[in-house]
Amino acid sequence: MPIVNVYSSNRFKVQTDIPYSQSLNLANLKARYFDTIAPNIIQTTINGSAPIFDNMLILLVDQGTASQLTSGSIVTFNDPTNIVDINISGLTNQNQFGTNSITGTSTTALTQTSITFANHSTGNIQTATVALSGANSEKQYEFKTGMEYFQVITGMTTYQADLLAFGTKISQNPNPALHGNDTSLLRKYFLNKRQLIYYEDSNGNNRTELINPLTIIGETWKNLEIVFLVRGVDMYSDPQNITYDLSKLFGFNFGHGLAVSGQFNLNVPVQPNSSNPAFVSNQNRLSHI
Amino acid sequence: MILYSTSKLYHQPYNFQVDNSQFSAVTSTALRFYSSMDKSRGVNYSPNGGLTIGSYTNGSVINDNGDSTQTLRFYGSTYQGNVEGGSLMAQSSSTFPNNNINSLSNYNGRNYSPAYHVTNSGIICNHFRTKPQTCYEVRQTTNFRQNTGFWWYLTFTTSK
Repeated sequence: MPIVNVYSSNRFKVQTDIPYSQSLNLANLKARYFDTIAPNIIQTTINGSAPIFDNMLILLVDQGTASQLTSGSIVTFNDPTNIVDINISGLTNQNQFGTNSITGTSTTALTQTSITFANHSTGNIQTATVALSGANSEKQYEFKTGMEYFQVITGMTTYQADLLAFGTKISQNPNPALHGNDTSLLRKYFLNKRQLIYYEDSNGNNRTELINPLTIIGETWKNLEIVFLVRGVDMYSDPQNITYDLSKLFGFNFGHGLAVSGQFNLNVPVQPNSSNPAFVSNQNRLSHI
Repeated sequence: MILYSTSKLYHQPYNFQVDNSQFSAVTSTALRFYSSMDKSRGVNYSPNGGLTIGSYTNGSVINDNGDSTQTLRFYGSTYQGNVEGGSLMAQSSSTFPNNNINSLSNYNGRNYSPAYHVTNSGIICNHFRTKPQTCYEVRQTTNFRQNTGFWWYLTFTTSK
């Protein structure tokens, strides 16, 4: 329940619509993976094996960010200096790679490996078997544990996203009153989000204004960018040939929208939790208590 | 590795086995950046003076038990487990949009942030709302003030 300041009298107007920042947060809730209307769900195919399902971290970023966070880039939101991991440099004698990191082994032969993820319909655990291979049998320990790594899959401008997504294109309909469209995650939470603003004009009259908090900044909204990342990246297994099908995020069925293929690091997909599933997001007005 | 019945906080690489004879345990001071997936542990703090969420919502949809475990229930009488994360924004001075709030003290909220308590008294918690040797998951912005009606917006996730 946001509020808007009335500067002339130091009062606050009650609002009914969540602000844009909260909308972006809602798009990235884990519960959105299980959403049936505007889900945050992708289909990941590793080396042509049976697909698995996962969610993404989707960020609205400043112009020019996507050119720095290119596809395949690794990002973390933890400060590695907060983690004491002596395995990086604590080996007494140098290893075969000429450093003091501890070492380990990988399997180079094609190996059937089980990957578990949460079923998006039931919330229960589901297992897929994928064929993985390694390029090197020996490796050194290079990445600190105890922190989460994210991998950039792709990025684009908000204008490009608007052109790619199914449904009402805000670039073709400048009037926010015509922007109502909940057919996909990008439409509902990023592009076509609307917000009714209650405010007081200079004459003290109560007024309302329907805005799109993205387009209200003017034509520069088209230059903002959206970056798509997967979570829980496995930094040690060798990159595999992976296809990420992002169709659902754009309002299409899998196989009918944007897909990104290439050599990517594996990641641990969305996992079920241990207790009864529950999620609620609601807004209500109650008369009296 | 911390194992739960069907979920884990840490995961091993798919195709890399570290030399266990060389590996040393890893420590971190960044407690609050870990996901709180341990449903067995309550928040150990009663927000908004111990009033329940139902005080805001009239108890018709969402409620909690009002004590320091902050266990929630949705659309019924079954408690779902300890809070994993979420937010509550509410105000207590008017019932209609476009009405005025005259004081920020009438604007209330809670943020439920995933973090672990400190059970080891030797660990110092920074950046938390603290009492001696205790770290809280629940933070509140103001004290709750009961009145005649509320607008509220609430988002919670306890699982999935």
